[in-house]
Order: sequence, then structure tokens, then C-alpha cells
Amino acid sequence: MKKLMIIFMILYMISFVIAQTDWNIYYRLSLDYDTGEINISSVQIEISDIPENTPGDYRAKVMDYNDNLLNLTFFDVPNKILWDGINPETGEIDRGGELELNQTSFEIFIPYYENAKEIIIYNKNQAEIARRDISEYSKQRAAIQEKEANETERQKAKGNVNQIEEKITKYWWILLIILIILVIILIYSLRKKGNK
Amino acid sequence: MEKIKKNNLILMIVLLFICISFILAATSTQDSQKSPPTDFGKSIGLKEGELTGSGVKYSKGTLTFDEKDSDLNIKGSEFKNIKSQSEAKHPSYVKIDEKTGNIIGADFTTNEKGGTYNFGGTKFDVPPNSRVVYDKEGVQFPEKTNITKIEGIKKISGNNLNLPGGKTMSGTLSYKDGQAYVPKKSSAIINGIEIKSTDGDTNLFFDGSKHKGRYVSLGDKNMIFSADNEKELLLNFKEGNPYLKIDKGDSVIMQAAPNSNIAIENRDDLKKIPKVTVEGAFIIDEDSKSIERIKGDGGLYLSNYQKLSKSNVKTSTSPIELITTKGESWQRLFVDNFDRIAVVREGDEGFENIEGINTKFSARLDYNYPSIKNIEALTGKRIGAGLNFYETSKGQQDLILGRLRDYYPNLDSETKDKIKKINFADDNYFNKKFDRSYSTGAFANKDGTLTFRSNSRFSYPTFRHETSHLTQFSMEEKYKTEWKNIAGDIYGKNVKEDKDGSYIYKDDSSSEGAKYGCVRAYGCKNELEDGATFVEQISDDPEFFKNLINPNSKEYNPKYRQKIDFLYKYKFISDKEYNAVLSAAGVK
Repeated sequence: MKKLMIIFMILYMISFVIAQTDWNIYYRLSLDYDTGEINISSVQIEISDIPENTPGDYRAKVMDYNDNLLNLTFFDVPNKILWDGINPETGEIDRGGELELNQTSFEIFIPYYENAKEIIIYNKNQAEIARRDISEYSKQRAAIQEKEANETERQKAKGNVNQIEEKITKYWWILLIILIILVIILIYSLRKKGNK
Repeated sequence: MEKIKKNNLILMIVLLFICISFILAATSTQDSQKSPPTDFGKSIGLKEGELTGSGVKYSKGTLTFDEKDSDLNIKGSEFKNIKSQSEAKHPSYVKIDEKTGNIIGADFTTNEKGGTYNFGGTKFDVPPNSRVVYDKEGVQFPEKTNITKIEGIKKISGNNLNLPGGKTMSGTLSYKDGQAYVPKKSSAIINGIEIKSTDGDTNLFFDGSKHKGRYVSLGDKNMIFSADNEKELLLNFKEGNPYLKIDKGDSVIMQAAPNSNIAIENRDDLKKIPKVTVEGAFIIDEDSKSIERIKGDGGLYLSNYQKLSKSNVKTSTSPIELITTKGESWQRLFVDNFDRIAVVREGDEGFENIEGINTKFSARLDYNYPSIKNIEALTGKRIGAGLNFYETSKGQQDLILGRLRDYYPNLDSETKDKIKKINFADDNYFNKKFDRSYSTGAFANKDGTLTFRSNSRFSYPTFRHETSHLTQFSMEEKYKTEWKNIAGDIYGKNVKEDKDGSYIYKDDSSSEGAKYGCVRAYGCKNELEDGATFVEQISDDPEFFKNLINPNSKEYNPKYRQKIDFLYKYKFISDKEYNAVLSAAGVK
């Protein structure tokens, strides 16, 4: 519950700050590329001017809780680099070329949506290659989670009452025995007093 | 009931007494197992009590540590906390001169307690479980022995020994009439300075003052060394020496020529870099550069290779203010912490044009060791995010930070915006990660990442070359189309790859200069490298284009001017750079 309150407050504060400035909220995704495969190593929320992505045929889709498309971002894997070689004697660049790296790490930037549930990455052939749940950053999730939490607490309280009822039904005879013993002790002590 | 309780208490007390007695009895048995001290001196004519020991065997001047916890006393010098032979797994003994009772040899290993010993006048503390060997040649001390007094001994050797007076030593040091010296053809590292005594004995003093002959004199914050009349003396400065600041990756070697001396003063108190004053001829290797004054010559010579070290590994410099004197003439140089050298005649600061930039040289320590915070503020990139160092030493990192501080402000804001990340990587990382040859110096990536080697190959022309690739990427096809319209269909036609991968002109492989509208052969490879080599050349040497853009010159080729105008139009070069090229050529 506390966690939810904190998330709510952070989101509220962010919205307030954004409303006062021209900044944007966006997801910063760190991606690891390895011979055609992509792994999303981390997702962060940042507030600033959203940096541009390298244009390309890779796609990142942001989906909401009802599987609707919220955003489509195109990007490229920056694994093609220009390398330059330096002449050890003259110190001048006198050689070089283009190189395609099999592995590289890079980042992409996608606008933030408060009702986003997940990000799906597709390659140039439109085949899905990575997926990441981002619901922890969504307001909708926070609301759903709060509802769920309230429901759980209600169920818990109800459960406790039911448990006591169940126990009483199950162990009524023990209570009866205790009661009988108490009555016997009472009668015995009363008789003793009467005799005196 | 109470009686029973009382009886139990008495029983427990009795039992407790029995246990204590048992323990005490056991302890006294152990003590009594140690053999009583024997006076070995009597049998060889020494005074009573001059040579006593327990757990020790004596035979013909050799006292062997046979038992655990044995001890020995020779003329008041105690030898205890020494492992027995069986524990040490080597002959463990002290040898004496039977006539005098003086110690003439020893070989033993201390137990877990370590100990303090005395050979004649030489006193020392030996760490636990360490072996000491003493023979007629001298004493071989174990690592980290603390020697408190040296007397009556010919030679000491070992690693990381603490000498009397607080200096440290690794290697061998000889003594003659109380004077310490590094013998000929040997070397020793004293206080982080390797003294290579190749050509003669080198006397060692610990006062930092001037002496006569061939010597090294080490004070707390200053030192001086001098060669003799015939042979040079070479010192190699290591990390941890108190005179020059040597970070990991730095390399400084100094050689005093015959009849020359070099004095070094640590000026940390004044927040200044060390001052090195040389009288006579010398060679100083700083990183892969060399500063030299030849005997009988008043001039200073700078070389781009090491003269004293055979290693070609790129290292970094340690900053010094160098003053060389010869008679009444003198010269003053600053070697900064970024692998650059400049003449600064007066004051603590000076400027020199390095790689086309008016570069500041300063004697201030903090200028030579730029803080990461300052560079982050300058570039707007955080270390570990936009600014990354991979496997770089402290020396390399300082070099990069200092150069970046000088290079970055020369970029215009559009180019700065295009740089998303700058990486610096050590040679090993570069080769491993990218599988490229050693000569590969830099990469430019379409996502705005630039990667450079973290050594002196990171130069301003290289920086500008790579940043211009980012501007080309941002223009996409527009750049290629427009540039090609100026250059014509020349790419790949007039150049070829040489055996080492470098590009040369097909018709004249020896020519390295401008041709076919290109700045050099590599530029004629393709339109991207053509533009980048132009930017590099404009930033480094605007005079290069003097004849190429002047219509009155024989070398005039309109393509050069058109390309320069293109680069100016699309902000590859600044107003200042553009005007510098035109003004050098005397054109508008």
C-alpha cells in the first residue's frame, strides 16, 4: 500500500513538473545486440528533451492493457561503424573502412505513456525479438494494484472472521468440557463453604 | 532438602578445583619439557653467559635450531621465535666465529610471531614466517623486513625492505666503510626509483644534498643525482616515489651524461608540478617522447620516440617544469600531464600552438590533474554514461581528460549536440572488442558514439575527423550527393591500399600531399573520408591550403575552395577556422 502511495506521489509530481516545463517524459531502453538477437537490458524513465533515435527498419511498439498500440518507434541497430587507422609514424589518419559489429550495446528512446503495459521489439523482418513489461511505470497499473490491494485486504479481514467461526464450530466440545469443569469446581467450592 | 542443596554446591566447588589443578599441572609439564639453557661459550673459551641457548645443538661453531621454541643468546643478542629445522624444512642455524663469538652466518625462518634480531651492529625486525639468510656476502632479508640499523655488514638484499630513516629498498645495496652504494652491474629500487648502476658503483646518500662523484642523494622532498667523469647514470622513476608523480601508465626515465647532474624538487606544498633542474647534458624520456641535450651542444632536441627505453608501449607523461642550464644559458620547458611539451620562458603559465589550438601550459598541479567534475560540466556528459573509459589507467585517463578539456570548447554547438557518447579504450580492450589492427585509432558510429584509443593517439585532428563523420551521418544522402557534385567521380580511382593498409596514390606512392582535389591519398578513398580529412587539415594547419585555393598559384584547384565553402556552409568548420584558411591564402 505504501509502495503504491509513493508511486502515485512520484507520478503526480512528475506530471506537475512536466506541466510547468516543456520537458518530455520518455523511456530510455538499453539494448544489447548479438548477431540478430536483441536483449532489453534495462528500462529507465527520464525527463528531458527526448533524444532522437537512429532511423532504421527496427520497430519498438508500446502496447496498453487492452493490447492497443500506443506508439510505434523506428530505429536502427548501430552496428555499422566507420573506423579510421592512424599511421604510427606520422600520426595522420591514412587508412580505414566500414565495419559491421556482431555485438553492440545501444539505447533507444520512446515517449512515455501512463497507460503503457509493455514494449515489444521487432526486427527488420517484423519478427518479434524482445518484449519487456513496463507496467511498473504506468498510472493504470498503480490504480489496478491499489484496487487489488484493497480487495485483498477486504478478503483477508473477511477470511479472519470466517476462520474464527470455523474454529468455534470445529472445537465446540472442548469449550463444553471446560465449561463443565468450571461448573464442577464452582459447585464443589460452594458446597465446601456451605459445610463450613 | 536444604542439606542436599548445600552438599551439591560443595561437590561442584571441589570438582572445579580438580579441573584447575589439572590444567595448571598440564601447563607446568609443557614448560618443563623445554630444555634448560646450556652455556655453549664455556667450551670454546667465551665468558660465562656469552653464548647460551635452549633447544639448540652446538657443533663446530654452528648452533642449530633443533627444537620448537628454541632460543639462543649470543653476546646479548637474542634469537627466539624461530622455527625448528623440521618445521622450517631447511637447515636452520646461526654460525659464529669460535674465537670471537661474533656471528658470521645464519639461515633461519621466523615462526608466526616474527622477531627482532641483531647481526653485529645490524638490527632488524623480521615479519612472521620469513626466512633470513646471512653469509659472507651479506644478508638476504625477507620481504617487508624493517631494518633499524645497518653496521658491520657488506651487503643487504631483498624486496620492499624498510631502511633506517624511512626509505624503502628492493634489490641489492652494498656497504663499504659505512657508505651505501649500488654496485656496478646491478640495480636497486630505492624510494620508488630504480638506480641502474651499469657502468660503475653508485654511491647512495639520504640527505638530498650535492656530493662528489657518481651518486644518488635522496632527501624527503628533493633529490639529486650525478654521473661520474666517464659514464652516464640512468634512473627509472616508479609509482610511489616522493619526487615525481608517477601514476599507473606513466613512464619517466632520466639519464645524466658524464659530469652532469639532475636535481628534482617536489613542490606539492606550493601546489605546483615538480621542478627538474639539469646541469650539463642529459636525456629525459617522458612517455614515448624524449628531451635531450647533447654534450657540447647548447640546443635541446625533442624526439617522438623513447631513447632510453626499448619499449614502444604508449604510456603517459608525468608533469615537470624542466630547467636546463649550460654555463650562463638556460632554457625552460613544461612537460604537461597530457603528453605535450612547450617552452615557457617566464611565469607559471604559458601558451603554445599545439595541433592548431592555442594550448595552455601551467605549473599548477590542479591544471595538470583535471577533475572529472570539471570535464563533466564542460561536456555535459557524465562519466559512465556519455563519457566512458574502458580498461584505462589513471595516467591515460588524466591524459584524455586534459586533452578533452582543450579540444571540446573548439567545437560549435551543433557538432556538440551530435556527440551522444565518447568512449576511450585501452589498446587491449580496443583490439579484443573490435578485432582491429594496432594502427586503428578511432570509430564513429551513426548513433552519435565516438570511440578513441586512450593514449596520445587521441589528438585534435583525430577528434575533429571523427566528429565530422557525425555531421556527415546527420546529413545522410544530402552530404554524399552535394560533396560528390564538387569532387567529381574520383573516389577509389586514383588510390590503392598499401601492404600495411594505408592508402597511397596509384601514380605516385611516395606522394603524401594534396592531389586530385583531396588533402591526402586517404581522402580520395570516398566522400566521407575526403570531407573528414579536409576538416582535420583545416583545424590543424590552415596554411596547408595556401596555394591550393589561391587562383594566382600554380597549384590552384577550384575544388579545394568549393569543398572548404561546403564545409563552412554546413558548419563542419567554424567562422574562425574558415577565415584562418582564407587569410593564410590571402583570398576572400
